[in-house]
Amino acid sequence: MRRPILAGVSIFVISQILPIVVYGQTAQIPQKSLLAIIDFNVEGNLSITTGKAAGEKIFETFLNSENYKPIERKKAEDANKRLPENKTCDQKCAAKLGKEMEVDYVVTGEISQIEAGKCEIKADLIDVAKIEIVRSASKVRSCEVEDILAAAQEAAFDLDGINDKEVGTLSIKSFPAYASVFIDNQYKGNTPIIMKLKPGNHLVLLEKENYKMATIKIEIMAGKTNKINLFLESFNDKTTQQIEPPSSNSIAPPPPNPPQSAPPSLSPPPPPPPPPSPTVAPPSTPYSAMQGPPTHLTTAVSPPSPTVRRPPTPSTPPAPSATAALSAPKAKLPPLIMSASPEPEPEFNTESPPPTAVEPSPPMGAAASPAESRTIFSSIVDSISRIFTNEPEADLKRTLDNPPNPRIDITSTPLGAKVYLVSVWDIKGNAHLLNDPLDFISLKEYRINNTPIKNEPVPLKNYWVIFDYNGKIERRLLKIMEGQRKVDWNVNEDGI
Amino acid sequence: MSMKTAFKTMTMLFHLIPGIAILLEGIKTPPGNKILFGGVTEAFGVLSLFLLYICTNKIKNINDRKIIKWAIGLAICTFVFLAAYLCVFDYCVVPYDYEGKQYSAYFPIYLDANLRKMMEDDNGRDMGKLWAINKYGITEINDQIKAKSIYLTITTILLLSLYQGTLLPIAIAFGIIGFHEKMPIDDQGMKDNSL
Repeated sequence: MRRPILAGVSIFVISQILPIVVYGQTAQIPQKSLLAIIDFNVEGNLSITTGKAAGEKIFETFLNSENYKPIERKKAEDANKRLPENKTCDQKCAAKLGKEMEVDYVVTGEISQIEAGKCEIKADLIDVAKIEIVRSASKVRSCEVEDILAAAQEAAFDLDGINDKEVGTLSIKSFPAYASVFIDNQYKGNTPIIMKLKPGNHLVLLEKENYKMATIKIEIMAGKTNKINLFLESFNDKTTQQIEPPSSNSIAPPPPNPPQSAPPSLSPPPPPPPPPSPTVAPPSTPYSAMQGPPTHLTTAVSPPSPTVRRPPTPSTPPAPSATAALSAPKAKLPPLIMSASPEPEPEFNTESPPPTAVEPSPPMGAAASPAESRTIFSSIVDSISRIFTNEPEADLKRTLDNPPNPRIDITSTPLGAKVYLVSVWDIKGNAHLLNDPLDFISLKEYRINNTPIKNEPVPLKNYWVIFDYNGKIERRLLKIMEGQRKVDWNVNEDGI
Repeated sequence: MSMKTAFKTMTMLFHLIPGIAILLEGIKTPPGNKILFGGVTEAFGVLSLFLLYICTNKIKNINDRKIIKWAIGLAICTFVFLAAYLCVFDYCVVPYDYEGKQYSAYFPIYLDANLRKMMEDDNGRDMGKLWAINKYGITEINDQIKAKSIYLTITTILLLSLYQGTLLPIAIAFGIIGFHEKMPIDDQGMKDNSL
């Protein structure tokens, strides 16, 4: 009797220990090299802000790198400030800065206008110890800021040494832009964004203040590019929008600047596609039908053409089975009109409107046809299966119980004031410090940046915003919970 | 359909449906805990259903008066647990509005010194949880709650126990009546009594 028990216990113990031992020997986590990104030198008519933005984009891209770990931007910026004005930072200078910042590698480069409307972005990855360029990247794009940022991101991929054959590319654009992008629950940056992802299924979540969240499940294939174009729906929208089911291969571009209260409608694609009208002729599906229990939208997969959409056929190039599964907090569906298309080469043409396609949902309250019942049934089955299969989406649903982090704008006249954010709770009990805020600031470092600060994500707290303009101090209460998102200070008018 | 079948059906429904419904919709569960509550409810539901099935013979042999007493006792039990759950739930879960949408904050049943201080105004008066949320922001409140997460864990265990206490007794009450051989209010029994 004892022997079987002993044997059973031994097998159990070995089965628990063996994987740990084997994993410990085989799965050695590679150490990431520390990397600093120095603001790019800017030549020609381009502004310094463009150089800063390019540096920011490269920083964001390296955040997802498996080989390098970028240090805080603030540290790199402080080091950058030690450079004499208008002095370009060459290889030696970058290596010196890198040593000061105690990093292994430094990324530096320049943006220059090579001809009318064409800009070149050059980036170098410099080994600080050897004082030599390890990798270089050069991209030529139009001088539009968005194109420069896209080029910066592609340059960062080159510097990172990512092998395109082993990973897939995902390009995400949203309307409006600057939505926060989360892939498998991890923040990756703001739209428009291009990123390299490992092949497999990924969950994409887009979040923007005052807009409903959108989630998309997408399959990435090695060496292929998937494009996602999304319209985010404003919270203000109720039932004004109507969506007309695409007849066959229909798409309609978004209007150039639709008001937030009336997002673009979809209409069948007249050639050339006109801007959609908010009053669409029947037959149409009320937009409210999009808000209900989980529904599935099927994304149309198209060959490289940006304007024509065809269903996948055996003759088309291998297409990832991109399926958009929608879910949103509080059982409300995010407004999602998306397209995902695999393309051999990534492109970032912001001029052409993003193609859209949507499979209509039945209006709520209407009697469900057998096909609709099947959809409802399959969505219920999907929901249950997601719960038990521990998919990231199930985790997402749990985290969506909290409101998204808001974004704030802080400006001053003139610009360039240092801005400190101190939460109201931290001030409690130290209220006397508000009269001499710098004492408090020296106690805890809350400085976020210099004005203008735009679209800065902050945790959902109420803050004291403390300005410091050449020693002149001002404090303002920022009531985030009451919907306040902007703070402005005129240095010449007031101050403590 | 006989009463016996009806009771057996009710037993099945009360054991299996609530768990799934909670998993999907999180009926009156604390924010972020619907999977836990739904999963535990479903597991306990299935377990008690099995136990009832295994103990069918024993249940059959219990006399009618005892069955009725047990059923009434369990029903009262459900009511008491439900009342207790609602009280604790309303104390711990505070709904608040943010940008036109309603969210819920989940407080522990015991508030530590920092949280109590947050709810006080400058004169030391207790202004309540909602006031604190609006004054400091929900992230600040959550940070303070997470700092002493043991209190929240204890609260969740308490709420979970009360929640199970609400659902299980009523399901078992239906079960023991359904599995009893001669139901006190069986169709046949009614006829026999009338004769």
